[in-house]
Amino acid sequence: MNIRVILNVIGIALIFISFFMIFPVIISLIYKQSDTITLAISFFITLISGSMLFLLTRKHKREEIRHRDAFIIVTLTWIMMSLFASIPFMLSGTFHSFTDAYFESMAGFTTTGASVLKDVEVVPKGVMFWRCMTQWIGGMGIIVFALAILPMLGTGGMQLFKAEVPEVSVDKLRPRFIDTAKALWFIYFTLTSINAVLLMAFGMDFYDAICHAFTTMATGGFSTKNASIGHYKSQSIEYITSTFMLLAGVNYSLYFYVFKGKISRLWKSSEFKFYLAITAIATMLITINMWKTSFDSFADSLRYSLFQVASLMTTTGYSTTDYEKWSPFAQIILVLIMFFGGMIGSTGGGIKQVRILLMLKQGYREMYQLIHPRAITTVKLDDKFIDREILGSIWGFVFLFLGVCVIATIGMAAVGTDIITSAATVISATCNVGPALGEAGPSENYSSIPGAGKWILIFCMLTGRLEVYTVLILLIPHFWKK
Amino acid sequence: MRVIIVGAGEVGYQIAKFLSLEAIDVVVIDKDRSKLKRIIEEMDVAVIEGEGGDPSALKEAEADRADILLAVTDRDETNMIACLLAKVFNIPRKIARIRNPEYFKNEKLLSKENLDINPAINPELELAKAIVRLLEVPLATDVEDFEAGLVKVIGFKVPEKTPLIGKSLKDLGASLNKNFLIGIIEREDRTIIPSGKDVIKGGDIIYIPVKKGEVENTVALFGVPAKPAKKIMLLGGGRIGYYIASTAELRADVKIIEKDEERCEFLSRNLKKSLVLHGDGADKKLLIEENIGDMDVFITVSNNDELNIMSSILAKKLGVQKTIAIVNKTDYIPLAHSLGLQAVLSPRLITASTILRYVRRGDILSLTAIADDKAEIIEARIGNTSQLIGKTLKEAQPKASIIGAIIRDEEVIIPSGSDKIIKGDKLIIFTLRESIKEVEKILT
Repeated sequence: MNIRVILNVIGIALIFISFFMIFPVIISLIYKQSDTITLAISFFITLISGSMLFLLTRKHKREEIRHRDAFIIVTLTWIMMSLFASIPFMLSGTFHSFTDAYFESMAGFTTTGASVLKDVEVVPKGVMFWRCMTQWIGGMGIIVFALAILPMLGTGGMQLFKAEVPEVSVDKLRPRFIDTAKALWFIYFTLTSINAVLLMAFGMDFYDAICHAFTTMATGGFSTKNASIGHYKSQSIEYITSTFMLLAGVNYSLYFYVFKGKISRLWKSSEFKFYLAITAIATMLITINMWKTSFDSFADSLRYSLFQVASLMTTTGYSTTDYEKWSPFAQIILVLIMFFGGMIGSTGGGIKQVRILLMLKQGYREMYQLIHPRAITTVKLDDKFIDREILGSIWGFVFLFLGVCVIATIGMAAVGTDIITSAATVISATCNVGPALGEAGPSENYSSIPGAGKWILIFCMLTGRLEVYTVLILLIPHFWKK
Repeated sequence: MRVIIVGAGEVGYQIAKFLSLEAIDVVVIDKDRSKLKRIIEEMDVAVIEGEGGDPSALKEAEADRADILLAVTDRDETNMIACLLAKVFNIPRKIARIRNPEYFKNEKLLSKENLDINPAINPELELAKAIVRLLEVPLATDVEDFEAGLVKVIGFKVPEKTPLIGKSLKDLGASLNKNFLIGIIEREDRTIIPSGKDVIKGGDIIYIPVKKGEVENTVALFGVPAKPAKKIMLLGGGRIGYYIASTAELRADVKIIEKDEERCEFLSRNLKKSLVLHGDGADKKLLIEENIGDMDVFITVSNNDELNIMSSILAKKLGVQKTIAIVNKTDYIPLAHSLGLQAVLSPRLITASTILRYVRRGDILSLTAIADDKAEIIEARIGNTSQLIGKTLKEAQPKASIIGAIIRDEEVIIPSGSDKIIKGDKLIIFTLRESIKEVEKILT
């Protein structure tokens, strides 16, 4: 293990996020807020710490980053970025305990959007902007990060990318990684801008529009309002947000082809079709279930159902209404689709649509094989056959993902939360959604969860975001053997 | 620049690895998923699963935007079809690995009107050429030709006892009273671009540019015997052995050992003077009987790596002066070095570096890797607009590099600091791998 290289990369990551910290300072100045100084101090602390780390470890031998190093680098980077991102939260006095500040910061970078704030509207604008921005950085996280550090690392950068996106990886859009990252970043930036402009056109002010566009495109879910998107009571804003949440859940490489005029690529992608189908089915089931019971008109039922399905499935986690008051049928569907998550290569969390699709196909094949024992069959996706190795790794992924959920749920119960809250908060955190059920439902927040419970959830958020393997691999003794 | 590589075998791998470090867009096409996986994990390139002769694979690789297509699968026919398709996509330059002499010698087939392959690289022939070059200066570790041999760059080990040791290069130049320079010094793990103050030590491997016909004199200054090899024994009569024998027999006595009787027949019919022996290369008795101890060079070119290495060691024990061995498995090469074999060549690495010489744009004519790939020799033409025109070498010399020779018309100048560069010159520049970019910048 090459500790110098690892620290060096973390140094670069800190320098990288410190530059983003300039923006909340500017916002704070524009709106003449009280938090300018604390934000500026946070910026300097992060910049100086990052620079020191970078400079002190600069003279590492030009060794390649090995598989093992990559896993440590990725995990540690997220842990350290969250740590430094929590400095503004601490210094500004928004949070009183370190646990709370770190929880909020991790919920930011992992685009979870679980909050421990009882009242978000009193938070000064600069700190609030930073809170939303952490989600935006985290959403395109590794891509943006990779764009910044890959040139310095040479070939080893590929290992980092692999550590973050295992198995069915994101298409490499361009031969070189840096060009791919630029293309993805451009798409991300463009979509965010369009979203912000549309929100402003339909009545949001500039500041709120930017903040919400940040957390929508990142499938994050932090809001500047206590009642989330529901605060605006505007049908247009809700439909715009539903649309952009669903857009954020789409594989970014598809946009790349759309931008190049190859729109047919969308319809060739079975994952895309599957994603739309799941959205439509879940929305229709809930709409019909709620029509006449909770909502009088079909249009209202559709409006709220679609929003909540889009929000929870793409793992954004906004709410327009307290869905805990909905029927158990609707609630169970909402929890179920959290697992589906976004498409692979999107900013969404969860298990990811393509894995579910491939598991269904594999399950079907196993049954087919029982009927025709001598048949030679393969699982195909978009006319490409999928290796057994990949299928096996998907089963492993899902097992570990659910395993983490189960163990963490037991842990939550052990620290004293009730069953519903334990299970729902763990699922919500591991899938990077945000709101859960019970004590941490859409109308409440995570402040009532005991401190130990918060650390369990912090672990869940990180594990879920880094696609399980990356974090869990650090926990097995074999990893540390020379 | 975008380069498409068809074939992800060892040659394709080496080329992709080199190019990806140079900020070139590289796309590798192969039908073997596991080979592609190895590549995508280790380097920053794109890969496409498919046949090289499949238009849809080339289309996916955006072949219409590519500058060069390299067809390096181990099948000639696939390579030729890939080049033919590349023509449809208007890729300006197509380079292919072509083994079969029937195709390789068929100029019409490769010509601009037909396949338009430029150049076709024959791995066996390239290897044979490299070995034949080494025979000219038997103790050299490396001999490279430029401008069809007008200038040679020779790498050799400085003997421990020569009067030149301990002198600085500046004094050396003065005492020899002729223009002479050293391009690269390889000392233990370091690779040095020397300045006038540097001192030569025993055991250094130095690379010097030499005019054609002055090789013997120059090398002799260092106390290195420079007589071309006169007595050669070859192990292995395959294509490579045959190529070497047919060139070498014009100037030297060649004995060639081949274990396949039919092949021996072929060799004796087609070679003019060489002595063809039917036998096993690891047979000590045979080697002694054929006077191995008297030979200048023992060359092992069978397709069995282990046999090549073992019989080279055996031959050394029996008193041969120099051994040259080919080793296919790249991982064996450092091992073979540490067992005391002087020249160890890998057919795949030679093919890769031969191809890489041509993957250049503009005024850089070729790029040759030396000293375990740590240093490069750049051959460049000075165009009309070059900023170097009219400057003396002292002013023009890029950082961490040395202009080792100037080729002006047909004349070769081994330059000193006061020589001026004029339009149309060709320069031979020594540089370190990490400084290539700076040199390229100055040249354009």
